[in-house]
Amino acid sequence: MMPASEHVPASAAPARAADCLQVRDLTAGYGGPPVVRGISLGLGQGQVAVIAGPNGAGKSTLVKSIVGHLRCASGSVTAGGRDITNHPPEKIARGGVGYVPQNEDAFGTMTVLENLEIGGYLLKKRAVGPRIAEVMEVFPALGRMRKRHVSRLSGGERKMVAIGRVLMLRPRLLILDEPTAGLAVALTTELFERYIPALSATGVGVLLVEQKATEALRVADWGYILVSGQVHVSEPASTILSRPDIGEVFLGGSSSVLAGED
Amino acid sequence: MNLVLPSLGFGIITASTLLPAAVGFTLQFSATGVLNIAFGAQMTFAAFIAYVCTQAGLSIWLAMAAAAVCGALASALLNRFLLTPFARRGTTFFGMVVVTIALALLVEYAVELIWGPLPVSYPLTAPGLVHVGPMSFTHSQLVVLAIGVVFAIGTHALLRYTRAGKAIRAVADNRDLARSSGISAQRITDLAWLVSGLMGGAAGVMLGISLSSVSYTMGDTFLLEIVAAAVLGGVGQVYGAMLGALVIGVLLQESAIVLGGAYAPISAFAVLILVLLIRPTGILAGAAKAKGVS
Repeated sequence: MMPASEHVPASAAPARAADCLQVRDLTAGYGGPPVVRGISLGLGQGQVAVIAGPNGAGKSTLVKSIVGHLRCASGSVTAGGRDITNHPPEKIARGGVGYVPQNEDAFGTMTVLENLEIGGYLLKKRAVGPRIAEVMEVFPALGRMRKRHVSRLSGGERKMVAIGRVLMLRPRLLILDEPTAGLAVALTTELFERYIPALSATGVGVLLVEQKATEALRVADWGYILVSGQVHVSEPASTILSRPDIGEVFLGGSSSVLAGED
Repeated sequence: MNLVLPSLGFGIITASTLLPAAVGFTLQFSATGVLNIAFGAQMTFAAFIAYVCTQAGLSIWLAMAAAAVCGALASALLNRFLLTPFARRGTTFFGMVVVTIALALLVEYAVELIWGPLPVSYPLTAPGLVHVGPMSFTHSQLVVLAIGVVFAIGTHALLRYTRAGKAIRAVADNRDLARSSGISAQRITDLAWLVSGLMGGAAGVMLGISLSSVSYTMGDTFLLEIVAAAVLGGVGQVYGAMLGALVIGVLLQESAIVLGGAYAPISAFAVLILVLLIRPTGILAGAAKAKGVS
């Protein structure tokens, strides 16, 4: 069971360089009682942070309010030093924040190539083609299926399109909401061991939402565990991994332990 | 029965008028999720704008262009300043339908108030006939046909090959994801309504030419056929609306010949009901989704 001392109050957010993303005391929801309350987190350039936690903890709600799909009732969000709190999603995208939602992460009625073109909507017309070539170099499979319709792709292929689309604008911050849900094991491993480290090596900050986060934490610098809409644990990823008490409750598995507590 | 082929000509002309109307109607739906019952009334309004232009001495085709532009602006303004505010308040789908019904009545009676209850007609010159096999067309019917074809090709080119057209499809597919890709959904929605208003305006004038008269209830009656074409093709499916327009247009004219004029609408709608029994989402829904032509 989780000792009460694990709860980190918002004011005790880590004093790290959070030049990529800084969330302060964010409260948001869907009109009713807030789903997430007083969330604070930070992410430096080239860092990877994982947001873990049981189903219904508010992980998706949190990222949706960061990227402008949900209104923040209070608190602030800054990305790359600029305030983006409650900005419209298109403006946030223009500011270098890439977002891959958990579901409906690509345009199903369009081809792979068209998805990448839409991803590069903000680029100059001349720059779109070369950038698509670059993204296809990263994901060669995209080149092979460029004419195919996304609705006909497998879950893994579709996720590749979704990530390819978001890379078109060369985001400084990449937010991936449960990218491995429904993904084959080999692809999950490839994502965590190859693509995400490659991205962070180029200075991109990656915020990764994962329900079963052990694997994700292995490539991460910092981990946050959300429970019932609040940050329950905020520790270096290695610390979280080395503590079996946290791991048992949140990362490997049964959220039933928590459900019983709630 | 030897009238079946000649009436195919009428069917094609009806379809040419129906096509831009049904595509415009379905485009509005796919871009904003609004089933715009006022679409017919907007067509009537545009048809009368063209009438005013012809009275002022413009040729019918220039008048049509002017009416299409007016229709486009009216449509975009309507969406921006009436429907969008309602949508922001969270008005339900049926609430929006009621809003557009009210608007349809308002526009219709405004047209009656301004131009009176009696039908008017465009001054059409060149009554000479062109024969194509067993079918014969007037010159203006041939132009209507050509305009219908141009709208079909133009819509295809816009949605398939231009950046703005692809953005319209992206917003129709997934508005939130489109916005997170940097697309200003509001601007793209405005564009979609502008384009659909342009088609509706042109269709109104084309209808006035085909019927050789323009009355304030004209669009109202035509709306049923527009809805039939759009639903037949799968609402929100642009290519479906094109196919639906062709099928409904030809059916209406053929059944008028085979069964007599009074039965035309009935048989056309009987076919619509039959098709929907077999394919509740419209002819093209499945194929269209996979082809990405919504």
